[in-house]
Amino acid sequence: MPTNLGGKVTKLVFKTAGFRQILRSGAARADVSRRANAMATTAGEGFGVEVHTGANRVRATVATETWDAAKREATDKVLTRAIGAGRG
Amino acid sequence: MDEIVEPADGETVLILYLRNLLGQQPGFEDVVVLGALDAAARDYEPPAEAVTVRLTGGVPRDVAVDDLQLTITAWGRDPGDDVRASDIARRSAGLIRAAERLGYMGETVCNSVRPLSLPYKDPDPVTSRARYSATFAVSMRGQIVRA
Repeated sequence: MPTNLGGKVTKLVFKTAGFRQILRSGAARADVSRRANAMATTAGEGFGVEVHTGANRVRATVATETWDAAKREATDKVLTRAIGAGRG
Repeated sequence: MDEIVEPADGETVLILYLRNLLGQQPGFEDVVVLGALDAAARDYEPPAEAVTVRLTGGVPRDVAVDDLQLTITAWGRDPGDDVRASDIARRSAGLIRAAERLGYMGETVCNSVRPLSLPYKDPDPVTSRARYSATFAVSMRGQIVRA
């Protein structure tokens, strides 16, 4: 989008491929993995992490792996409460 | 120290807000809104239809405003009342999101409501009653406490 800053026209060109490269990089994967593992650890035993590198970005899932963990999430929302651990 | 800002009591604010507005919705007048439903307790008679509100986290936005993570769970009457539990959860979600447009949740300033998860099926493992849960990040202005 062209903008006029003090009489000078500046044009921003987003390089989508560059964004994608960053979002799929090893550093992004490590960061996403660290955050997901922090959530799983905070939630307690029985929660597992899977990290995927998709077409556009890295994503992770934290999910219950045992019946006991599923019950603790259903009754006490232990995984929901652990979302904040992924922010740090 | 003359004054401090403490985070809003998000659970109470949302319970009172939902209790007031849900009670005005045709077909939802009898839904009870409360903080916990101790369905596992002996001799406890739970309400037929209910919404429970839990504070499940949050982060400060600035010195005066916090983004509180609030989780609601809508309870149907029986294990087969999935549709009704979903209806209650979705109506509650709509009312919560309306607080952003109102600028207030009850008497508390609220400028942002961000759904972290819309209502999902979440049956109670203890009673098997139908439930739907949803989680929101709700901005609330803290309370100034003067010493």
